[in-house]
Amino acid sequence: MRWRSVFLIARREFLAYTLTVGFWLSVAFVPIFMALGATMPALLQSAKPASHFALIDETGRYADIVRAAVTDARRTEVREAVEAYANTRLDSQQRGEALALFDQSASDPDQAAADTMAAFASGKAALDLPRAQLIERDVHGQDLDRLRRMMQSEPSTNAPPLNAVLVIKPDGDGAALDYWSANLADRRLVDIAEDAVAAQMRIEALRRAGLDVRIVSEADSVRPVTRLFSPVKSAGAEEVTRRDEIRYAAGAMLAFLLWMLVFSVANMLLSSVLEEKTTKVMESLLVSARMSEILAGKLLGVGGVAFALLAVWAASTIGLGALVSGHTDGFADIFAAFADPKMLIAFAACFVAGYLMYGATFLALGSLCDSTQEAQTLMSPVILLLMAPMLGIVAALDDPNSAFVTTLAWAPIFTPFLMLARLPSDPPLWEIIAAVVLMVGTALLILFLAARIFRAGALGGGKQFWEHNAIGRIFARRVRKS
Amino acid sequence: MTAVLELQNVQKQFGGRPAVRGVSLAVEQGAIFGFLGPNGAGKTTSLRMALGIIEPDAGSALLFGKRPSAESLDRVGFLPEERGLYRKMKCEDIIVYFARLKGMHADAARLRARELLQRFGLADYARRKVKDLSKGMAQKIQVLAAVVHNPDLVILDEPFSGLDPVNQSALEDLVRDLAAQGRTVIFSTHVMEHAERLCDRIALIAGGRKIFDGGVREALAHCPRWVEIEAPKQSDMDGVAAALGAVAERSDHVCDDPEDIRWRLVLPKAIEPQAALRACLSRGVDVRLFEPHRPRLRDAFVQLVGDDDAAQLRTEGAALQGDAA
Repeated sequence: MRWRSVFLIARREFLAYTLTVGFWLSVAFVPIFMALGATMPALLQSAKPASHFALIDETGRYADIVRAAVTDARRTEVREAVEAYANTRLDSQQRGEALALFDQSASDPDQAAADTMAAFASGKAALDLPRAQLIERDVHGQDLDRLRRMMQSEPSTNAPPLNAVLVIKPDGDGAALDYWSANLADRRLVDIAEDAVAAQMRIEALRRAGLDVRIVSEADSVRPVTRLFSPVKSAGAEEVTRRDEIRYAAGAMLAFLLWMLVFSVANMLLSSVLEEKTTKVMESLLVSARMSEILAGKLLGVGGVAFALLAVWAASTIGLGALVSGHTDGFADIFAAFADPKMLIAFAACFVAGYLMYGATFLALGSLCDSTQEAQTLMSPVILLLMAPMLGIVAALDDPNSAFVTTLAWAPIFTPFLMLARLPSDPPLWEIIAAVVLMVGTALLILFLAARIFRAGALGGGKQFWEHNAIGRIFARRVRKS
Repeated sequence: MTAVLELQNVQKQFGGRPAVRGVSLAVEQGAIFGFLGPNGAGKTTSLRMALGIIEPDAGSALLFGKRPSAESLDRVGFLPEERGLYRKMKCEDIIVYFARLKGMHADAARLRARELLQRFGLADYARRKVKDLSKGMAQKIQVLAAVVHNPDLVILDEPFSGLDPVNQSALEDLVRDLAAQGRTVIFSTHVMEHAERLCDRIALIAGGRKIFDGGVREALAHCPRWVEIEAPKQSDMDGVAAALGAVAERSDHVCDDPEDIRWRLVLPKAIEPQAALRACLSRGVDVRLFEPHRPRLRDAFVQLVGDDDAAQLRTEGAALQGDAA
């Protein structure tokens, strides 16, 4: 093997992919998708227009309760914004004091936020408060018919829109809620009102029954303390922490990432060989480099592409994590679960084994095809087979040690993905060693067979290979030994 | 002289069908060697065996006196019959790429690539992608990629196909240049005229068998020469033919004078055309036209293959179609 040729071929392969716009678009897709996933709920929430509502309380008992519940919901939103601000811009002592001040401040949450900011963030960047979601309109003296017409009329500058009307009607000892809205999908008000009125009706029912509301509430809040323990953890530290739980999810996510990565780049190998066959470059290449050098060069080059993909994805994930760390609880735990050296080493080993197995297989398949159509036909059953690890990864999220997952993990072509998913459950050492031996052995066997098929297919093509002496051509040394 | 390439009774079958049946030949250093035959004759398979791309079922191939190896292949420049380049690579880069695969240093390879592009009038195309080139232009780039590393042996498989006459002529010049530099050039073609103009030696192959191996003159010597004569109908051409030991055939050609006829007089090997003219004059034939014909390689090929085999090759859609070009 001449490493110079291997390097040249690898470099060409690497540059052929990484110097294309399509590659960077696909690279950017994952972080963009992740960023959208992380920010979309907040964006959607903030983009939602405020709902202007009216209250008609025919009972005379529940309107203020609903108003208080709406204010509480607003307080929760504003407090989260103040807390996020304090986490990123105030020191730990100020943080606690600021939140305490907010909690003690005026009943209007927006005013409480303004007071807190004036006390602790003078001269600092302004607090960007989320828009109020529910705004009550004073419709004193207007009946429902009039309000229904208002809901259907176009909004104007001197008459803000009316989006919903909540009518609280007497119903036995309690109340019934009639909710009128042009947009019935918008349940922000009715959900809050329902909970608040239900809570009040419950209190009233308890009182009517002569029960002490305080005692009942305390009884309701009684919960046993539940702790999770793992027998495989070291003595004295058996309790399962949140970080441990995240590890399980991280194992499955890394397995999924590996699956996505391996198949993205293995497809590149198939396309690469197909291109060389259809454009007839292969024969020129065969006189310039040995078959083994071509094979190794391609695997290394596209492996480099995979590494570039992974590096960009990892960097963008860390960057995104750093951005949201002030807003997201437990980011440190999530990061620690993914950055666990044991998981990273396992990921690297599984990637190498998985990539070699599937990369070599796709290379060999590519060498047997003479056109994209042929490749698609040949790939269909292979792709169906390759969906199996996905089922295993999903199952591993529930129980990484289930019979289904452990059995599937011993199928060598699925081992890299499923062992990675199982690793957080700390399988016995012998299983890990056996899995490594199985992966390495299978990768070597597949490489050996793929090299034979590649040699036969690279020049002869699929038709000759399948029609004449298929097995014989794999094993007979008819093509130049490299 | 050292043989730079040698085939020793090589045989190859594909799917039970013989492609090459015991071909032996040796190409000496510094020669321009033509490997001739119709499409499907076994030329490409023989060349692939010579380069070790495929192994013969029987016999052996030697390159520079040894079995083909990565080292010996570094001394070879090869233009395959099935041509192609990476479509998205730039012309200069692709030449450099193949030069480097053949062991050239990066700077030297780039310098040499630019020099070749300049020399062959392709400097303006250096930074263009292959996909933007015409087929002929891309073929020229591939020829340059094959010779960029100054190989001792250049093998060109059907190098003239797909090129227009101007580029065919340019390629012939390149082949002569390479030979003038002391390099050995082997090319295969089914167009005999190129071989006639360029080759020191040729091998004719048909149906997987070598049917001739030698100099061009030697090949032509296998062909009978003939003259075409126009003379009045009553001329004693049979007498002329008998005197020369030749064969006289009446041609369908319509002469300017309706009283005249055109004969084709096929001469024995030892008889010169001048002897035919003298015989006509001595028998009082009023010669209106006398046209001696020099045999061509295609005639030699037909002669060597045999009429029946040649006809069979023609029906296989292969034989000598390119001669018309």
